[in-house]
Amino acid sequence: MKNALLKVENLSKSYAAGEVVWQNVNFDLERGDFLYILGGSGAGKSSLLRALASLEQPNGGRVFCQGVDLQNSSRSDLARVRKKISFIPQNLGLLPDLTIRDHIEIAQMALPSGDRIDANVLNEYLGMMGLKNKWNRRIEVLSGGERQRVAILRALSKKTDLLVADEPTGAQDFEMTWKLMDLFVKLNLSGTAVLLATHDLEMVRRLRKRCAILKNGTFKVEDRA
Amino acid sequence: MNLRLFFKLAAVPLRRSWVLFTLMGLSFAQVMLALWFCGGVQHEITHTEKYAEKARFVSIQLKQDAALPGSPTVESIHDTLKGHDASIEELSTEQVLAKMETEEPEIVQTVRSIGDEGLQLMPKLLLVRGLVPDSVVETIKAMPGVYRIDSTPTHHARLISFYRHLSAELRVVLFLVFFLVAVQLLVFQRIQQRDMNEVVRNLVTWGMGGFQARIPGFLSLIVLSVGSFAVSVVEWGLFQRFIWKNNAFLGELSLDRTLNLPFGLCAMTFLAVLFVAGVLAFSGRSTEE
Repeated sequence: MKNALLKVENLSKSYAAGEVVWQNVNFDLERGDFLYILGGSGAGKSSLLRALASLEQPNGGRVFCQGVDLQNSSRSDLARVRKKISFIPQNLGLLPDLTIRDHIEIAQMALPSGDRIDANVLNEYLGMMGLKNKWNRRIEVLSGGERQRVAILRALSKKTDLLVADEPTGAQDFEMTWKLMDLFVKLNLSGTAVLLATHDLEMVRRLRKRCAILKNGTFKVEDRA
Repeated sequence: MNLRLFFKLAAVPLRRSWVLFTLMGLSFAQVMLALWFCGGVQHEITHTEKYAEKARFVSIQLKQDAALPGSPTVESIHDTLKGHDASIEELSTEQVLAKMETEEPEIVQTVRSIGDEGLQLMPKLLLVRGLVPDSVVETIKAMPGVYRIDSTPTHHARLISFYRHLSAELRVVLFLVFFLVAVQLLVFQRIQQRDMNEVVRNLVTWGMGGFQARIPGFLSLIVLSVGSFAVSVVEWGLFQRFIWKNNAFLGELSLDRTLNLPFGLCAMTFLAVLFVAGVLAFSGRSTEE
């Protein structure tokens, strides 16, 4: 358990009416691991990822991130863990009134300068994502695809141990999707663990990585796609 | 800490519902202005009540040889009253007769018909209005040039009772307006809570501590309050003369001809705003926390 970046034990979630969202979720994630989470619409991928990123409380089980029990830890411990996690939510979680620059500053505000990515790398990402000349634009004037790329850029603006991405390329065209996937793989190869929820089977077939299937409330990890 | 960003986040709810918040800010300003009016008038009433409690009217009748302007007796009376909150009016024989003319025209006619000897029978008066302690009255009474001294009682019971009632009623109004200020702040916070929750969620997701994540919400309330504060101060400045005219019921009894902004009350309001804004912004927990 000591070496696991993320350890999930018997995690379960159900609604008040008794409807089970997922149960008995068990898996480990080490540094440099890549895990797809596959499931249909409404299978509970987003709530599982939110629970793993410490943003939602499950009903049972435990999640350990870098040895910290996310269900039984203080607010300061949670804040410390979240500094090491980068999360790309499906709903993007952007503030429409703020600019791209503001969002990057929010993501970096709580971090020591050593945990922020270099300005050159940030510039490179901006260029690659086609956001360079939109740095000071408000989110509300950007297109859906651009907004999604801002959410990705924000997640990548810090040196992270774990990248949790919830359908991060759903609003991108083919070319941009593969540019972004290429970026995730590069990060993964440099030691960042990646948890990526998707229902794009084509992507899973091309980038053959470990994957987990969430179906009818059960969670099963396969070795290879 | 990135203050620019914190202020920008604080402005999120204000930008999203600017019409509503402008109206709320203006109404908050009016409530604060009402609070300060009450405070200003309360101060005037307290001041006037004290004046009514202690002020009296003293009439000093001088002997013939002491009646000349600048005589040693008149000078001594002036010196004795120096440092006391009192006005002195010197009345010559002619002025006394002129004052009597409407009420006692026959006596005045008789005195005038006697000629110089008649005029010498009339008193020469010094009229003193204001805060004159008993010891001063006794000192003046003992002066050789003073023929007679009359003084009104110092306790105007009915007047004082009226002022006390007025003062108590204003205190009740002050309390009610203070309550309204707090309610206004609560309404502000409830309206902006939805937007601020989004901001808190965003900050917490990126590793910000719970306390820091609530700073924009606190700043948002403070920005609104300071804006309202500034509007109400400007309004006070604009309407001060108008307000004074409508406080004419204090009339001659008031020694203070200006209605000053009650700075103590302003400071109290501001501290109360800080406190309530702090409680509202930092209480409760979001699901992420």
